[in-house]
Amino acid sequence: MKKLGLTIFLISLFTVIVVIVEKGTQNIVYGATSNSTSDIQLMARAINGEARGEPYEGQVAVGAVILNRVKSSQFPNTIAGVIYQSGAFTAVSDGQINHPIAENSTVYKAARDAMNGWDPTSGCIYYFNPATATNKWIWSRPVVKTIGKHKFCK
Amino acid sequence: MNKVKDWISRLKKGHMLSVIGVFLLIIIALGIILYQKQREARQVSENTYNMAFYELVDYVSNVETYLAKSVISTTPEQGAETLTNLWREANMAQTYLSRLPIESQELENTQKFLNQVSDYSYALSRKNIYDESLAQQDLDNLENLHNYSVELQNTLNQLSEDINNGRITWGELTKKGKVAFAQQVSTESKDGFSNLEENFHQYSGLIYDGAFSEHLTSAQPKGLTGENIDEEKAKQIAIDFIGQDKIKEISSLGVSENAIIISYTFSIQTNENENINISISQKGGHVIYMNYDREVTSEIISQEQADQIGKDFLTQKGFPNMKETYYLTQSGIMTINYAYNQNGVIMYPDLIKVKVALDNGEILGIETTGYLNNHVERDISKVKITKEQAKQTLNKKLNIESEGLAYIPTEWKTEILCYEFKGKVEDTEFLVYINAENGREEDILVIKDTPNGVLTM
Repeated sequence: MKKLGLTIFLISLFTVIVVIVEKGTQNIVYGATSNSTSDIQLMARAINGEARGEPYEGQVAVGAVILNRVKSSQFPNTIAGVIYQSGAFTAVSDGQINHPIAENSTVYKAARDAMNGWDPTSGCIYYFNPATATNKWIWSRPVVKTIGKHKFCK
Repeated sequence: MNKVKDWISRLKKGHMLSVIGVFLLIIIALGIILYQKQREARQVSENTYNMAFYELVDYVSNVETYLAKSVISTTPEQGAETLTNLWREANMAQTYLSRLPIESQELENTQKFLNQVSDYSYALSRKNIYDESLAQQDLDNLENLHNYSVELQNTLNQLSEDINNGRITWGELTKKGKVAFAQQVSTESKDGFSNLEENFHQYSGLIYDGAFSEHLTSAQPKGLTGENIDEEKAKQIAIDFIGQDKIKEISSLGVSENAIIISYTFSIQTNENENINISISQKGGHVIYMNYDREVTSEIISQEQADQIGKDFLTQKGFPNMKETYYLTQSGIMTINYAYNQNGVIMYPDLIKVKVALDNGEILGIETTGYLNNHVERDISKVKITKEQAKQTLNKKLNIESEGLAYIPTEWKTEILCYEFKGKVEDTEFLVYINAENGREEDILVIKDTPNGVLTM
């Protein structure tokens, strides 16, 4: 009887673990597919993932870079295309982009300002954090401005 | 010693051996499940990349064909058809190129080539629509583009052979971490794609009437007048603009060197500890933008009042004759667009945006780049057709509510003098623009009333 009890206990433990693992993967899919939201929400999410701790100006600047890329011939021509381009934003690679943003939050207002034409970067299409950037190539770009922790360049 | 013996006997009593066995089984089962999940996920992404790649190969091959056709086509009808196809195929090729797991800077010239082919063919197809035949310059351009497309196609064919033989795998291209190791195995894969980019080393871009034309990246701002100023002077302008009495502290954020409009930016701390950023152009000391954000909790100011507050502010700051065109409210902040009004003609390119807080009417931001890029006094004598003639072209269902003259901007930074007709068809509001020189229907905007304001689509 003892053996049976133990086996049942172990089997249930096993099921719980499997359920947790399954749920984990399901959550990722859910987050990625459920955002049938507009461009501004998508941009707010990107800003949140990329520049949450930055001054307001730096948040508008990240939004402006996304829009400058849309306008540039060297990048895709839509906001979603630019944001989800391979390796373009770490907030996309690590899944922070799936974090929903409330409409009255600061990053949402920053996204709105960028959409309305405020561009603190004067037309930049790249930025990097000098403290963490590992890509040598990025240092060769002409820097226009430093806002908060980010250097913005052409 | 006794303790150990005791422990082993206790293990036996509690059937610990079978417990350990079951645990091992669980771990193995979990391992298999995780491995399968991971393989599934990798397969999904490999399939997506393969699909994007093979679509790209097909679209580029079509681009090559249509470019070849466009060079030898002689009638405007055939030309327009070929160029419209080219526009679509190049646009799709560009879309699939950007879905490959390769970082943007590795393929930026390939991307630019496809974007410009797409945009250029669109611009040329418009010429054909108006029965203008292509100039020799255009034919030369198309031939040149065709040569590039042949090379691009060859490289892609080589790449697809490498992918089919397994010499290049997407797994290697997406590998992250362990940099030294990853680089050693993936050089072949990386090289394959840098060959793609290699084709465009000589490609210098195109100048034409389109949004991706090369000349747009270096266009000189027309409204940026005046002498160069130094940082001290710029700081004084910033202080005067915000108001000395509001400022607790002002600090410089430096000069932006590589921008089209070189500017000094300052960070200002107000007495209420708000943080305002303001940017002043080196040439002429114009305010390019001012911006800050604060919580706005109540909305007691109406749209009309906010319009007036914005207009008074602009007049006081040296921008008289500005007319409000659109507005948008978000979280208690109204962003109003103003266009320059020259004797009743609305200059839409001369655009200034103002943010007004709806709790106390405070100005939270201003953005003047449209105005600085475009503002000059225009010669309105170019009007060749009368308003009545222009009306003839309108859809008869359009119920006209207002009419006037306006300059509208094109995507390639020129402007067109038009008659502007605002009207309704059933419940939808439209703005229709008829060219005042040749009577062409230049643009139609749909006005959408959203809960937050008025938007044009």
